[in-house]
Amino acid sequence: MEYWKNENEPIQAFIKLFQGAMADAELSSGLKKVNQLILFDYTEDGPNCSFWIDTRAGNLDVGPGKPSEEPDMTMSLSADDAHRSWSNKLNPVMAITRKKIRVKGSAVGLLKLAPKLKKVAAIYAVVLKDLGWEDKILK
Amino acid sequence: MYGNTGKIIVVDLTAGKIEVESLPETDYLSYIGGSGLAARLFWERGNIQADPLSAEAMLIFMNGPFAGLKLSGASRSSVAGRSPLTGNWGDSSCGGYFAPELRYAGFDGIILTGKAERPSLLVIEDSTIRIESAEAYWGKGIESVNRDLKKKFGKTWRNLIIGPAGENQVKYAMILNEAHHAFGRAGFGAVMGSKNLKAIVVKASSKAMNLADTEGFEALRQELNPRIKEALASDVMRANGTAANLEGGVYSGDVPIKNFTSNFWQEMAENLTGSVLTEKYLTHGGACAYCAISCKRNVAVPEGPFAIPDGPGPEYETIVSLGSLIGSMDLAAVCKAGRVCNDLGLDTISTGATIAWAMEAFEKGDISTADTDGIPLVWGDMETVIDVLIPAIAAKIGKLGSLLAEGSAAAARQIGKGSSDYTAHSKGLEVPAHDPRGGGHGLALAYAVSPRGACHVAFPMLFMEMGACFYPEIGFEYELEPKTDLNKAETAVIAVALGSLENSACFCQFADREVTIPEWVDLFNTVAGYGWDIEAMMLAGKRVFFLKRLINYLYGRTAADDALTPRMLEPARDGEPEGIEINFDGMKEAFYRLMNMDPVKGIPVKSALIACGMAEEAERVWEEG
Amino acid sequence: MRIHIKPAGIIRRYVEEKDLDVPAGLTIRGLISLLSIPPELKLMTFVNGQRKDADEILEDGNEVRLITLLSGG
Repeated sequence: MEYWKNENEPIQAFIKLFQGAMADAELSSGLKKVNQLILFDYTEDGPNCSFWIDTRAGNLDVGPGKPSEEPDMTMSLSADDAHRSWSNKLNPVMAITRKKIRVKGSAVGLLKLAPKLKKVAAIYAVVLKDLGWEDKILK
Repeated sequence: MYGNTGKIIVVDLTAGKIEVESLPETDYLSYIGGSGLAARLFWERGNIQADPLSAEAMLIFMNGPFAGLKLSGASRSSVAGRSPLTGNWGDSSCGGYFAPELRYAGFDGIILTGKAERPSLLVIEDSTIRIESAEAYWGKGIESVNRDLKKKFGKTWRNLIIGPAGENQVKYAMILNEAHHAFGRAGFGAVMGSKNLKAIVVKASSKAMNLADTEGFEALRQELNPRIKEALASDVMRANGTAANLEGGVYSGDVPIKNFTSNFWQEMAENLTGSVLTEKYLTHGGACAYCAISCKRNVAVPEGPFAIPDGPGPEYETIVSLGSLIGSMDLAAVCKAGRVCNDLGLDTISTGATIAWAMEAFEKGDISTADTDGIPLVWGDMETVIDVLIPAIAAKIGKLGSLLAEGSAAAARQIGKGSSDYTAHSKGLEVPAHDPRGGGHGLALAYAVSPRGACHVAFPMLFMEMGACFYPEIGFEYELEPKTDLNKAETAVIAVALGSLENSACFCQFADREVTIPEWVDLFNTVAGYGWDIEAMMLAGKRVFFLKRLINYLYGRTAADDALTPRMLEPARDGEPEGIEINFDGMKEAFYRLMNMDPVKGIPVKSALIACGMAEEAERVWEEG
Repeated sequence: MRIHIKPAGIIRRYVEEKDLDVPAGLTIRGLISLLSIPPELKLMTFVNGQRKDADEILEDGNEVRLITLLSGG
């Protein structure tokens, strides 16, 4: 992996990112509209390298590993591409078209998220700084 | 056989079987080559009713008789069959470098049926033809596959490649040669994708050709090449590309704006016209094989949200379809959008037209964010177009991608609510970037009667409207006034024959503007030994037009389908053509009468077919009793 | 009299935007013959934004826009 020392680092960063997103009024409202249980699967980089978000029924929850229920959508990609994506350097729709991201289930949630990525990237930069990983920030 | 090789490659991709067949000379004499000969083969041996994306569907690539000649404009070829976008006869033409190489390798065309078990590559090396695995390339964009194939086989190997859009069978997916020259329209990239055929590569070891009259042709070539090179239009396009006069087209009302709702936008004219591309982003021009016109563009956008590295740049159609048609006047965005469509393998005309319809539907409330996965469709929002819409279409992502991937005609049928009224198509093929209300009313007729659907290159009507043609030998001496119906039906009668001839000869319409009718005859005779006079030559053109119409008849297309959507026949709301009505019905009725076509069935009457030497074909559509 | 020439599109290759002193009573046809525009270009002329034909007589202060229909594919 180009950006991460081990499989735990990205999960640490991404969970913190979603916690930050859930605290933002615009992003949390957008996430609730997605209304899905989504598994982000980076297990190509390590067996524990994944996390999930649950935005169903007006709730917002996030956790490491796999969710206890079957997810509505699974996105499989590398942790490096995830880093680029959350940094708004990799267009996720294009990444699906080019099969850098493999999607199982309904991709509807993803299209809904696409316009929000600029804002997500701003939060992500702050999260990386907080974790002492300013060097990982993509300019 | 002279000029043409007389040989075609016949591939059954299901069985993995490859054969070489000889075609009888009568086929060439009757149907010329290119899309005409393809129509003949499809009529004769194709599974005509097969779903275009099924294994049974027949896909035909066909050169014209002039492929391989060192003559400006002669390097084009055709692809043909049943279009997945329209469900009717479809054909598309492409310049570049594939046609000459296929000719030099010894073949006029390739017929493909069946479906390969895994992603495949057809490799033609002189007379050695084989199928190889293309699994390493499946899923990849055309740019990188072009590079990989050049690396693997050699830089001088010529290719035809589809992108992810073709693999995903998007209805208007296209095929690129050398990652730059397009078989753009009617969705043949999807047909290749449905057959698991990622690419075709070809290489010939010798450029030898066998002409009927080598000296005679050489004399013609020495006359035509300089004339084509020095023509005013050539000079203009070499300098500023095919959009060189876009600004003029805005003043005449030819350039469509915002889904054909407007015919004048001054600021857009100043931003998108060809000289601006030259000033800001052009890196170098480009040409098809042996062509001195050099109308192609290569561009780089150095910075900003639409930055792209040096590579293929947009033609007129792309500049309008991904520019003014969707409410944008951002030339950098056009360049990037075109580049992305190229890489993913999407026809820029149908892509722009479908997005334009969707933007209007969204504005009107006929579709909402519930239909678009939450994505708002706003005129001129190029970031959304490039980052979301185009990739979503190419991979049919979500409700939005799946809807738009069908093309505007089918998408409007799905949405209903009268949204079909503001699509812009004929027979399911979207209208290109020439609005008949400004470009010339004869174009409305040409769009409606063209077999593949709305098309400005099936017949030279646009050139005739703009005063670029004079063909006294075949009765075209009219000085047409664009915004009237005067002499348009009479012109169309000539245009359908001449256009079908041009399209079957696979000769570029920019170059052949400089070729006189007697010189056309000489070309066919010195190169291919057809032994024609003017009458026989024009009859062949007419015959091609008739045959394509007959194929459509077998699909249930009748005179009623020779139509334009209501949007196209509304008088223009502004600009030079404001308020002027098109006398569509009058022109169509006159055209049918002059062509001796049945006004209900839309096909030539039996005696008209027999007069063209099509008695056998007539039997199939006109039953006795 | 003085008129203002506004070429558009490819006409700009042959004529630049400028003021021009011309004889009174000059028609559009007469004007075009004064300018070095290639004869093969079929022209469309607008005077003060209105489409006019070749016989139109120009007046002092007229803004004359010249375009041609030549277009790409």
